[in-house]
Amino acid sequence: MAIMYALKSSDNEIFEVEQKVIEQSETIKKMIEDGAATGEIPLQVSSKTLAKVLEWCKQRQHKTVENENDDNKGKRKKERDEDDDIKEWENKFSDELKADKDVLFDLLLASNYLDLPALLSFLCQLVADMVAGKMPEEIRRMFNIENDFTPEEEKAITAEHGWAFQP
Amino acid sequence: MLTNNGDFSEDVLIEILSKLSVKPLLRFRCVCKSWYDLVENPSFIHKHFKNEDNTRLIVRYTDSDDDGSDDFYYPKICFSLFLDETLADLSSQDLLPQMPILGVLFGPFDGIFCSFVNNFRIALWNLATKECKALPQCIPILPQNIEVSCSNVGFGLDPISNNYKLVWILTLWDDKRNTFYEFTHVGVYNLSTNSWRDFKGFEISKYNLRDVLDSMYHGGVCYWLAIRDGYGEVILSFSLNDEIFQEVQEPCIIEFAPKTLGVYNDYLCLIILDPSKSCFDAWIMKERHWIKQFTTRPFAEVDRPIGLWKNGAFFIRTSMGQLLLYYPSTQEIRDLQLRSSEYSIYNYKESLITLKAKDSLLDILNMG
Repeated sequence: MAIMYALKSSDNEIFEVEQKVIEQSETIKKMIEDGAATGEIPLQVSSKTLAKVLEWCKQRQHKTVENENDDNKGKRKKERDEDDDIKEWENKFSDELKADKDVLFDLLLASNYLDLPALLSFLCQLVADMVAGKMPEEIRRMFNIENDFTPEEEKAITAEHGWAFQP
Repeated sequence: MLTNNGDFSEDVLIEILSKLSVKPLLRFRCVCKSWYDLVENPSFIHKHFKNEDNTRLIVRYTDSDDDGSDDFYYPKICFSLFLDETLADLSSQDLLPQMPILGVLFGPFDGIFCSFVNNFRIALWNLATKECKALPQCIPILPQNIEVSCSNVGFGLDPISNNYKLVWILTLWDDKRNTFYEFTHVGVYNLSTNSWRDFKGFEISKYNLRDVLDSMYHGGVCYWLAIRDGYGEVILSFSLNDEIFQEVQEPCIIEFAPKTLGVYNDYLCLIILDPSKSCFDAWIMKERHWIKQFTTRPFAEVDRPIGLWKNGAFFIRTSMGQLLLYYPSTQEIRDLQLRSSEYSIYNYKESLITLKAKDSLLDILNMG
């Protein structure tokens, strides 16, 4: 029988999860090891975001278990098919996130807080791809950043690499 | 360091921005003061550069569609940057028209090209930021009747002092005795102080750098695959921190074995073709010892290995002049669809290293 843990979101929703799935999070793993996690594990993450985090962790867990059970025979072909499946799943996962910036940003903060390096790196790449073609003004709006340059300063910096502002 | 980061913590922001290419990052310096500082920060520049995904392929080759009909045929030099880092798509861009100055080109080392405008004038060129900088003129004081015969350069980060340095080795010719001068001359340029330091090089009887087979920078050290007269090929190294030349012994001596230097899993790597068996051996340098990493199956009609790609994949020139990319892990072979008798391979990564010197291009044109 798999060991189950109960995770409690910031809005008091309970998620029952297998130990192996949530141990991908270094933060939770440490809480379990320290014995701080008897009963429910309280997390500073909303239920909506936590559901997404667990969706990712389950997909990852699924992948590692399958690889462990493989024997070498025919592995290469199988691996390639699996890679295609994972790609497809990841594409769907990122399309949903791209459509809702708030969910994406919350998930990014949660992956950092829960110490999930693979998810963090995946999401950072996603955000990087989304912002790569944008102009500074769009970036400020998207990230809630205040422009603290004077117009003269901004003009001078823009002039240094004018070509970088062309499409 | 960051104060005005909006929705994200500094760590997350650094993680996102380090995945971007140089062009948007130069644009995003305008976002706010803390982003500007970040893009100029040496440790961020280093982290950004370390991102493996950004490695792209540059191939220099001579286009040889000479059918013998044109007596004045002169092979065209091509300098192609492959745009897709996975090489799934083979479209490329010619770098020569983008070069700010014409000269003998070395590198890229850490994303920076070094160009000789003339014997004593070197310029650095960062392709990604389009910045170009002429180094201060360095005219070594040479004995009478001694001239420069050939130059070799290496460039890279000294990780101890966190300075970028360029090492310049001059092989000298003694006009009076009509032979090579017995010592080389070495100059070391420091980018942060923008100044040169000269010192006497090694004995020329030891290393012949006139036909360097391969040169590279890795982890604070410059390497040249050179010939030691009467001995064979050796790897000459120069540590950018303590500024000392050393010879790295090769793992095995197979006479006239074609070989190439590169990096495999962050280790110095030598790929050697064993002509008697027609297979390639890959050796890596781990804690000052060579360890054989793999031996490939035998190949038909291969000429020599030329340069490594990611994850131990390496390039092979065939006797027909094709350029192949071989992946040892899957044993797959790809034909890069080129034809040439000469190839040089470079793993190019965009770098944010700033060469800031706006007046220097004019300076070079006046000098050149």
